[in-house]
Amino acid sequence: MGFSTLIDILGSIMIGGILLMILLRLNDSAVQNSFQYNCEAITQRNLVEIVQLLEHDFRKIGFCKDWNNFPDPTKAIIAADSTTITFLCDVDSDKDMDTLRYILGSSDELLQTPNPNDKMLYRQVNNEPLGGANLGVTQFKLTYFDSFGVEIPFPILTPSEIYTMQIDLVVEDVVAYNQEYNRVFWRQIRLAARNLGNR
Amino acid sequence: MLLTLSALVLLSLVVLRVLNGFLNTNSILMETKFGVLGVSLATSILEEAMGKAFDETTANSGVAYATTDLSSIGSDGEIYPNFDDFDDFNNLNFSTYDTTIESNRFAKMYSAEYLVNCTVGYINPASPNQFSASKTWHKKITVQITTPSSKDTISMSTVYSYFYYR
Repeated sequence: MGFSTLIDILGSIMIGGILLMILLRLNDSAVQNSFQYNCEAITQRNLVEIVQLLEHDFRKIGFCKDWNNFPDPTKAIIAADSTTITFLCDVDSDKDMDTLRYILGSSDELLQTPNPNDKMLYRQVNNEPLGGANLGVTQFKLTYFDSFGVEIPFPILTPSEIYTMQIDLVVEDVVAYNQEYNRVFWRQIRLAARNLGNR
Repeated sequence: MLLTLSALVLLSLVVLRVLNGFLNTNSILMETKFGVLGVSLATSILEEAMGKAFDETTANSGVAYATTDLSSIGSDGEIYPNFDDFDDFNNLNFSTYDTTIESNRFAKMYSAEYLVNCTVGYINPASPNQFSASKTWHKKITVQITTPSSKDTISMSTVYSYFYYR
């Protein structure tokens, strides 16, 4: 075996090694991107699901299929805070008023999930147990405005002043590759519940 | 040598194809992300408009008994966001990066610039897709959202009708 053959073998090993490294890196990127893309799609779907539910429920604030059962819409919002709201509405259109409550839980409740910031967004109808699923909500912030469009400071002592509200919602991945969590943001600047204006 | 070069070319092609796939998926996901934000902005404008009075003549007091009582489409001197009725939103154009809008309400609210264009007109229920030349009890607003960051245009519409309960 001559010197040139030795050079050929060494060169082949080097090129083969480089090709192997490229392939391994490519495989790693493929796995990472595939994971992230799927997570991003799931996150966006989760956000849309939450927004659809919120818009459905919040539009019904003060609504009752039989208006005689709830003639005074000014009393529709019982309590309002930056992360919690309790209001009256006929959620299932059965002519009976229901009490609906949205509560943002604490991140300490979901310590078992990899994302340290995700929280439970609870939806409670009347006195039923708190319901909800972990969809990766990391922010659920409510801001309230009066009929002149002026922001109402917290604590809100007179919920009947609320005319419109702003909903800020951020949803992140529950799990992520290398702890790189995708975020999707939604801001409903003014949600004018029809029945709140009925005064 | 020729075999090695061929292998390298083949591998390069595979790598390029895979990277191209990654970039395509990435841009699609970014488009949907911009779309979600654009829809939230369009819905917000629609909700804001629906929270106003139906017409200038019914904004503060009084009731419109005939369609001839209704005002013409367009702002009656009010400047956004101090509109008092639904059709004031006609020809409202602004950028979310516009800091001259009162309270900078949209400035830096969104991660990308969005351009808002609103059109309002009277419609006939029989043909809701076309604006009516005559005044009716129904007005339609169309909000178009575009952004330099996305190729798509988001267009959302809603109809506002006038009801008076005696």
